[in-house]
Amino acid sequence: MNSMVFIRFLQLSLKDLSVFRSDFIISIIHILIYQGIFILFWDALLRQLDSPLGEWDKGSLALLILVGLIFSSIRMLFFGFTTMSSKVINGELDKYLCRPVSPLLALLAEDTKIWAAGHSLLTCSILFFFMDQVYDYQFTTLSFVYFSISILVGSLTLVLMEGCIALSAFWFGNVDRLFYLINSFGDFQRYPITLFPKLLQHFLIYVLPIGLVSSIPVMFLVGMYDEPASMLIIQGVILLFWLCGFVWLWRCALRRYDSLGG
Amino acid sequence: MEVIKANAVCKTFSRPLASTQTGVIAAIKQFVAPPKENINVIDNVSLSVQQGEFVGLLGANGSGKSTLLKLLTGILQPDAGSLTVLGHHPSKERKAYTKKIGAVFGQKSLLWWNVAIIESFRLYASIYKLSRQDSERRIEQLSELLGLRDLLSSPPKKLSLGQRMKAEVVASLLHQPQLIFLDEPTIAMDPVSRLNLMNFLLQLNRDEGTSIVLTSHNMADVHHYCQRSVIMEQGAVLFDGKTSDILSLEHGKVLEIKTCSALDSQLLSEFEYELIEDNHYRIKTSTELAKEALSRLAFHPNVKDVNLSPPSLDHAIHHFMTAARNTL
Repeated sequence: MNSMVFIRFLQLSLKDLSVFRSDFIISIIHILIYQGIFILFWDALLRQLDSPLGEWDKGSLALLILVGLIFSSIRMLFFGFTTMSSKVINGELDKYLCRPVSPLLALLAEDTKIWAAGHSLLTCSILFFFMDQVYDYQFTTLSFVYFSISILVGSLTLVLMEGCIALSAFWFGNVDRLFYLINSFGDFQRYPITLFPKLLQHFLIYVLPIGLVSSIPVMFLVGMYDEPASMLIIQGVILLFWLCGFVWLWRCALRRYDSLGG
Repeated sequence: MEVIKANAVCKTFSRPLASTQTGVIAAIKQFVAPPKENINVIDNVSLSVQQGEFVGLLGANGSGKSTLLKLLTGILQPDAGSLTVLGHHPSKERKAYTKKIGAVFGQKSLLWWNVAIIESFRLYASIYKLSRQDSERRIEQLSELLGLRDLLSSPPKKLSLGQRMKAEVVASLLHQPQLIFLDEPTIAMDPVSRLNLMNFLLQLNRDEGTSIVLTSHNMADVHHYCQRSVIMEQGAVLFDGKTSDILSLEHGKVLEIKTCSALDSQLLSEFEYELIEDNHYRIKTSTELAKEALSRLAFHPNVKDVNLSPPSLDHAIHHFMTAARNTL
């Protein structure tokens, strides 16, 4: 998909949203309130915390909460995965399957919530600098590089996993409940995974890689990891696994697609 | 030049079966492993279309017309057989292939529901990589032709079904495709718009050599515009030939009579007839017997109007399919 087409999709997406202006404004207020309460809650909690939680001091806990917003914003760019099952059920792939455009990218571009993604990222950036005054983060340039790679790879991994769930709609029809089920594990994104038993830690890294979008990157950033390079390689392997799975599923899904009756 | 070459194409769908058993165990069984059956939606279809042909795809509801179009456009992939369109495998060479075709599915919208239709047109123009100048010129030309010019800033939700169909056609023909597939394109259109669209398609077909394949339940469209017809039934091709040949399959004449009051049933007993409405009869007769039927009925004192005509395409197809079903 060329950039012009993507820009057209974004324009249409924004125009579509702005048709119902009051709803659009309320949705922005909703995000502000939701994120405001979220930050207030954690800030209040952290202020009451006298001693560190295991290896996690106040600063790293604050970072953990902020980093969660980065994944939230990346996820908004791939919001099309969450709406894919209804589109598959309603045969909405037809219009892109007979056009010279990638049907997958077109479906994702159609539902990209770029404003929500930008909003989350902006909130995260503002808070990052604001909270730096309170908690005084300590990290090096190298640890920031590790962190950046890790959060990017982790987010792509989790997005691809969600993509695989979305593609299962070609076989099972409605998979919204499966999304809800996976999302119910989403709270682990805000908690330091090293506080949990080893088995659960492994589950949250290798099976349901929620730990890869918050705890692990923050551990890189604050220097909790002795050998970050080896963990990055593991992250790369996990990403490759989900990428291969996604590509394979997409090819099978197109063969499986049966559109709607005429 | 052959633009479509389909050889023994098959497509199977699975369909859930209603359970014949009742009770809790049956309900659990139905939930855990719902019974299904496979149906051949497209059954061994072979088809060849030459460049510049205008082909009508006909058949009853559920006969496989739309599925065949979806296979030809690359939306669906065949389970068996080979399919080449404009030298491409539709689903495997999607990007190169879809640049050359246009597809309109009457029951599936291409347009963004809440946004002005011109915005959707511009999106599709950018998908086909048309320059800004070309896309604006083409949008204007097609909108003018289909009477959409004043509606360009309206969203599809504010348009009637017929107006929406016109917008779907514009969105699909912006890039001047070599081959056009249309699935019931004139659905819900008023007669003037329908004629405009069909004449426009005919003009494309004649002047630019654009090949067209359309499905329609409007036999008048097929009769007047499609030189060739393909009749489908239960996923198979029953007839493939000149549209005029379907008419010649139906021998005889149709005599329509309007009377002041009901005709004596004894008078009609020798003929195959149907009562269309009160005091309005349609009598089907062989060409040989038409003269006798006319002399016997036309001058009856009760008769106020008479019309003798060859059978319509509707009747010819109906007759053809009834005969075909009986032999299946």
